[in-house]
Amino acid sequence: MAKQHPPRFAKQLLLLLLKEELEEEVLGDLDEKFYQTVEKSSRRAKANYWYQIFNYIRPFALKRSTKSKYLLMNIGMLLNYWKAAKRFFRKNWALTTINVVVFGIALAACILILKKVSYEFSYDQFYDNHEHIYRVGMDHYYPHNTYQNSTAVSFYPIGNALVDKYPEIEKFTRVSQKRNNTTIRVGNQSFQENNFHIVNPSFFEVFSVKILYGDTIDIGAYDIFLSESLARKLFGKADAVGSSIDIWNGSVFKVKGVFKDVPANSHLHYDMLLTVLHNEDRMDNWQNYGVHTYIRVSQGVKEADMERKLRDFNNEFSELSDQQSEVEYRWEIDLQPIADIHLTSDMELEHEVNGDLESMYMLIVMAVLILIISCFNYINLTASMHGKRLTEFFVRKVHGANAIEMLKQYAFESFLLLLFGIGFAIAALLLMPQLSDYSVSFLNQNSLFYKGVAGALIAVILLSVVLPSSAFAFVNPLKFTVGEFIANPIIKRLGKSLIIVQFVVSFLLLAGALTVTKQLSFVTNKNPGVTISDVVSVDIPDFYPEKRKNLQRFKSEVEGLAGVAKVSYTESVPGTVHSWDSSIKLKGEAIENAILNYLISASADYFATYEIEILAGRVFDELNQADSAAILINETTAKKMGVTNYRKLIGRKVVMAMGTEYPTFEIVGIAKDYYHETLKNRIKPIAFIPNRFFGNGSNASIRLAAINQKETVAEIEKIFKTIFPHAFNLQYVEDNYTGFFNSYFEVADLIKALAILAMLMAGVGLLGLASNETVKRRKEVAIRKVNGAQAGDIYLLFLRYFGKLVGIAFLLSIPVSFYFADEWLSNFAERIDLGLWFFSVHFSIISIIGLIAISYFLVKISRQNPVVALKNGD
Amino acid sequence: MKESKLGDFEETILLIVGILDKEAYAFKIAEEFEVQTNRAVSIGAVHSTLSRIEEKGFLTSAMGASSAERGGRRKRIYTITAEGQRALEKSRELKMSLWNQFPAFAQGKLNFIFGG
Repeated sequence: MAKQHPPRFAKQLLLLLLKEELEEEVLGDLDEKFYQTVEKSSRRAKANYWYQIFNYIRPFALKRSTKSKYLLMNIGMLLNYWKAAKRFFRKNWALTTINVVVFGIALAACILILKKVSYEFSYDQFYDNHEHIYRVGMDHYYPHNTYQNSTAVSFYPIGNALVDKYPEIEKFTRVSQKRNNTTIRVGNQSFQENNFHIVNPSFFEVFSVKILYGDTIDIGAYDIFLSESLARKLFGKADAVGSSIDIWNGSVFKVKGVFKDVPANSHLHYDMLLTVLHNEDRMDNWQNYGVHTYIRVSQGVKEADMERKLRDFNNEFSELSDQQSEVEYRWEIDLQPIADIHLTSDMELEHEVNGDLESMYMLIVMAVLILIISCFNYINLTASMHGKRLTEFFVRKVHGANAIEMLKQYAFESFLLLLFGIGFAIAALLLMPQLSDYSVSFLNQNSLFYKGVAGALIAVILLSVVLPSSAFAFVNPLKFTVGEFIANPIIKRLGKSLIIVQFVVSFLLLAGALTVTKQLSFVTNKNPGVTISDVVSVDIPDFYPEKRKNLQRFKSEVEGLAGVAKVSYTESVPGTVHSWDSSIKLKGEAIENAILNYLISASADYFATYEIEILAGRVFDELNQADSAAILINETTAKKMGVTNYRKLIGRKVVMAMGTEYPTFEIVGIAKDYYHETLKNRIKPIAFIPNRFFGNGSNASIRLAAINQKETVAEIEKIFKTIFPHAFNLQYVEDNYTGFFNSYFEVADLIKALAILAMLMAGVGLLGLASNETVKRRKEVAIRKVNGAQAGDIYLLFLRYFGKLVGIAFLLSIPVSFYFADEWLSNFAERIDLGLWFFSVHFSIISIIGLIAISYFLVKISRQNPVVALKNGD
Repeated sequence: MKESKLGDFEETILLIVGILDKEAYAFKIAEEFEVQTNRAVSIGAVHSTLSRIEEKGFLTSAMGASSAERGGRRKRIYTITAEGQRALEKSRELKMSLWNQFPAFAQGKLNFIFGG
C-alpha cells in the first residue's frame, strides 16, 4: 500500500485559518496523530484529521487578519439583511411560499429524472474494462446488397476467425440466447429457470464475474455456475460448489462456481451458466447465426479503428457465407461497446428489450427546461421584491451602503430563498417513498448522478443568485421611483420574455404529454387483430419425458373443464417479439425473390384459440402425418409474394431455410394479419408451421369463458400440477400487449408530471407578472374608472394584455411540438393522427390555468377605489 | 484583571503536564488524557486550554525537539511554573479538607454501598 498522507485540502484549510506562529507545532501534532491512527485504518485517520481541524477553529488559534476585524460587523449586517428579508417574506408570504414550493418540486423532479437517466446510462459499466468489450452485431444484406435486418447474434466461427486474424483482439466468448422455461431438478424439487445461458469457458476471461465460491480454473465441458441468489433458491445456501443439478430431465451437471448476482443494470442477465467447449463440427458454418459473440480488445484500441480494419474481414468472410447460401449474401460486422448496448441497440434477437436513448435525451432536455423556468420565477420574484423595496434601499444608500453591499444583500436574499427551495426539494424526496413507488437515495448512486446534482445546483445558483444580483448592482436605485423601477424597460421586457418562454415550455410539455398518453392508450386498447381478452398462457417445461403424450393429456383434461373453450400450444405467444427468423420463397421462384419471414410453431387450435380468421384454405391437421409439411402464411407474406388472390396460393409449394437445410412446404391456408409484436411494430411476414413436427410446445394458450375465471385458473393449476410437477406460471396474454409498453408508460408518467410542473410554474410566473402589472397600472385603471369604465372593461384590458403573451407562446410552440410529436409517433406502426385536439386541448387547459393565476389581481384592481388610488399615488 | 482560578478540566490537564514532564506537548497530553480518563478529547481543545493556562501563568512553554513522524516539525513542550505548582496544591488542599468534612467518608459508611 502506498504511504498515506493527511488529506491535503484539510491541511490547506487549516493553514488558511491558523495563526502563523502556531503552524509548526499544530501540524506536527496532527501529523503524529494521523500516522498513529493510519496504521489501524486510513479512512478513520482521514476522518479524524478533519475532526481535529474543525476543533482548531477556536478563537485562540484563528488568524487575526484585517479582514476578520470586520467579521463581527459583517455578521451584524447579515443579521440585518435577515431581518429585512424576513419582514418582506412575511408581507409577501403567499407569493414567496408558492415560489419556494414550486421551485422545490421542480428541483426534486429534476433529481428524480437524473436518477432515472444516470441509471440508464450506467448499464454494464460494472464490468472491468467494459470499454474494451464489444458484442459482434451483424448487418445482413441480401439479395443484391439490399439491407434486410441487423441481428445481435452472429456466426458460430466468427470469434475464432477474429482472434486468429487480429492480434489486438485478445479473447472472445460465445453466449447462447436465453433459454426460457428450463427445468431444473435438485433432489425431489423441480424449478423453472429463465436466466440461463450456455457459454464458453472464456466467458470469465472476457467478463469480470465475481466468483464467491469455487473457481474458474480448468473449466471443462458442462460445468455449472450459479448466481448467489439462485444457489440459495436451489440449495438453501450460497456455497453450492460440488452439488449436482439435473437439467432438462436427466442430464446431471456439477456446480463448479457461485458468482455474485449480476446487477440489474445489465443488458445480459444470467443466473445460471453452463459451459461448453468449442465444437469443431460447426466451424465451417458461415450461414446460420444464432450465438452472441463478445470480444475483448487490447488496451487503447479504438472502436473506429477496429471497425475500419474489419472491412477487409467483412469482405473476406462474406465470401464464405455467400458461397454457402443460395442468395447473393453479404454482411458487415457492427461492433457494439457493451456499455452502449442498452440504450443504443435495437437489433433482432437481443437478450432483452433495450432502453431508448431518445427518451433519455428527451428527459434530460425537459429537466433542464424545468430547472430554467423555475429559475426564471426566482429572478422575477427577487426582482419584484427589490422593485417594491426601493425606499428601504434608498435609506440604506443614504446611510452609506455601496454597490457591493447592495449586491450582497440581493445575493443573500436570493440565496436564502434558494436554500428554502433546496430544503423543500430534499424534504419532498425524503417523503417520496411514503407517497409513491419512487424513492431516491443520495447514497450509492453512480458518479454521473452526483455530477448531475452538483451541476444542477451550480447552474441554479448561477442563474438565480449570481446573475441577477450582479445585474442589480449596475442599477442605481436612486434613479428610480418605485413605479419607474417596475416600469423600467429592461425589467419589463425581461419579465415579459421570461413569461413567454415559460409558456412555450409548458405548451411543449403538455403537448408531449397529451400525445404520449393518447398514443399509449391507443396502442394498448386497439384490437391487435387477434382476440386476446380471456386468453391466458401457461409455461410448459422445456424437456419432459413423453412430452407429446402429456401435452395431449393436459389439453384434453383442461378442455374438459366447463370454463375453458380451447387449448393450443405454441413457441411464442402473441404480444412478444418474434424469435425465429427464416427466409421463404415460392418453389420455382428466383432465389433473389426470397422473403425474410418469421416462423411461429403452433398447434392447429392456435387459430381457434385466438380467433384468427382463415381467409383462404384451411388449418393444418396435426394428427395427420400427411400434413407434416403443411404451413399457413399470413397476409403480409402473401402480399410480399406478389399475390392478392389468396386462393391461388393454396397448394403452392414453398422453400424455407431451416438450419442448413432448405425443406419444401405446402401452403394450406392464409391467415388474416394480426399484430403479433404489439401495435408498436409493423406486421411482419409470418409462416405458421405445425408444432407437432417442428419445435417445442413451450406455451399453452388457453381461452377461458368470460365468467368464473378465478375458479377455472385454479382448476387448470390442479391439472397442471398432476401432469407436470413444476412451477405453475400463468399470465393473461392481454398483459403482454400492455407490458410491452411498460418503459413507455414510465417515461409517459414522468412527462405528465413534468408538464403539470411546468404549467404550475408558468402559472406562478404569470402570478408574479400580474401582481407587478396591476400595481404599476393602478392609476391608469383609476382614471379609466373615473371616466366610466366598467369592471368588464378593466378585465378586458388586462385579459388582452396577458392573452397576447400566452398567444405568442402558443404560436411559437406549435411548429416545434408538432414536429416532435409527429417524429415520435412515426416510431409506431399504428399511430394516432395529430388532429384538432392536438391544438385545442392544451391551449384550453393552459388558458384556464392562466386565467386562474391572474384572476385574483384582476378582481382586486377592478374593485379598487379610484379615489384612494389617485390620491395616495406611490 | 488577570484570571487566576483553575477550572476542573484545566486542573486535569495541568496534572497531566506534570506527569508527562519532558514529553508534555499537545498531542501527547490529549492522548494521556484519553488514557487516564477514558474520555475523548480533540487536540485543538487541549491546545486551547494549554494556551489559556499559560496566559494565567501556571505554565510556560518552549519549542522542543522534532521527529520524523512530525514531518521534522518541532513540538511545543509545556512545563508547570512555581505558580502552577502552588495552584495545584491549593486545589488539592481544598478538596482534602472537603473530603475530611464528609461524614459518610469519615465513618467508613461508603463501604456499605460498595459491599452491597
